[in-house]
Amino acid sequence: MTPTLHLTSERTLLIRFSGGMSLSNQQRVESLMRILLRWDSNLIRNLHPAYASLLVEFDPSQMSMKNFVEKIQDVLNVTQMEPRSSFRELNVPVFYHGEDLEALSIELSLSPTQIIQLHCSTSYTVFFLGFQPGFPYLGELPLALRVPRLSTPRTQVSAGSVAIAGMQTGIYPRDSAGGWRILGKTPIALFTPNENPPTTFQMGDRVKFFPIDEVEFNSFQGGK
Amino acid sequence: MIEVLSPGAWTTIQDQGRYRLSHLGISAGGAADPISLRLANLLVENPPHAAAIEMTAIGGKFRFQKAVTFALMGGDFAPTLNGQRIAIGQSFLAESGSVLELSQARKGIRAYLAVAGGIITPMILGSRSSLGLEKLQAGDLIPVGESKTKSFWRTSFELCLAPSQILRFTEGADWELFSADAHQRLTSETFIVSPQSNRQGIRLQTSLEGSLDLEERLTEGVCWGTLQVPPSGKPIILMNDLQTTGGYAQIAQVIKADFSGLGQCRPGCGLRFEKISLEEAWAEAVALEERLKASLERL
Repeated sequence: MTPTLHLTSERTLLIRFSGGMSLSNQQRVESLMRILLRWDSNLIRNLHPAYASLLVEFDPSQMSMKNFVEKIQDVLNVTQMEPRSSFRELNVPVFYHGEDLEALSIELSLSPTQIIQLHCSTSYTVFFLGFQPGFPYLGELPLALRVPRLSTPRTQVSAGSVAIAGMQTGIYPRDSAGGWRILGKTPIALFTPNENPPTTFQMGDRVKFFPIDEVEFNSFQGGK
Repeated sequence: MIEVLSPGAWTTIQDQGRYRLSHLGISAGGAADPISLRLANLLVENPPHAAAIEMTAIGGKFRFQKAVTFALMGGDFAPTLNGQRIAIGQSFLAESGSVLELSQARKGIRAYLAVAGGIITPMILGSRSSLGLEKLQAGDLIPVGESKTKSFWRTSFELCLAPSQILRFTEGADWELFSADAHQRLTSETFIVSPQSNRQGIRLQTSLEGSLDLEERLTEGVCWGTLQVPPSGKPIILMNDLQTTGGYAQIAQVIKADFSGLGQCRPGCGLRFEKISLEEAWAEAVALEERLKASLERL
């Protein structure tokens, strides 16, 4: 279970944990990230968490590559990756009328109502934020909802779109291209650059979706 | 203030970008050619973190509303000040009301306009760099900071603006997943830059296909300079406005000392890749810093 360290350049170190996507890896990556965020900000320039890895951008003028790798190895050797005892829980409203709901209903042999019930049935974990500012990678999706992403991504997915792909579900913070299957849309903002923190979700948060209708969606947007 | 008379094709405010926000999905941003930004700032005696105007492919037209020292660095956009051709890589005084105009890029693809005192648009998340969406528009008034610049400077630094370039790299996170054949082809073939390239990534038209069974893999962190290979086999070199994570195999990492070349390569450019060690990559970064400073000459 020892993580592997790869210096991929003179200023980037990729730390990989074995075992792929799992809640225990989510906790390992998150605790390591939180430790490194407390290190000297001139040394640690950026951290890119993912399902089972953490990419660290560091400044080699602050510490040699060799010493940096040794220091990280020490942390991995001695630090207990303690699971968090408490989580923030967020409830996210969704107006389920997404572009892919009908097609998914046929593909999964489920009614749209069943798809919505299943999507709202679980508490998801924010495995990490990536792809776009504030985009939460949420998992794990109920087995009955697992479908591959679109073979050709859409060039236009609107901000707030709630979508699924494989074991994951997520929310697009802004208009962009995207290949996930769209179930609906949330009126909440995910990326607010002038606020602190600038993202609505944080790594490790727990998220539940609940359905709203069009009137509620519009009043939520207007009332924001 | 600088008044934007005509913005050009894709003109933004850029500084050295954002740091320590990747874990929120926020990419670094910043100047696509960091060496040119650095030099442009040095020429007008600005600190390295000062913001400048970045132009891509087609330059803009600007009126200086008060007298200011400025410098251009980067690609050759045939710049004129009040109709007179001026040099790149040198600082000048623009009198109040002067008009600076850049045309199409003849060499390279990005130019930087730095003014003494720097551009002082509001900071967002610790940087003045565009968050990827905001471009300058005709009529915009761009605020400029106070400056005490006294001297004029010239740089003899030679940027890599040629239609063919050699980019040096270190082994990427997935180097060992690729076959010896793919390794050999990466370092022997010439890869053509696609017109679909932008500040998110440089797309290459030449394929490394057959090199790897490119099934969907677990998403991992990616950064500036990462050479990814999607299922099409056509590599993408990630640039500043990249996504912070990606699902494609990472064959290589272009060294930081060659980022200027990445920011200046035009569609149709031929790129060749040369593998070096981590120690060499670090030595190149140190040597580059020395060369930048040694290239400056007071006028």
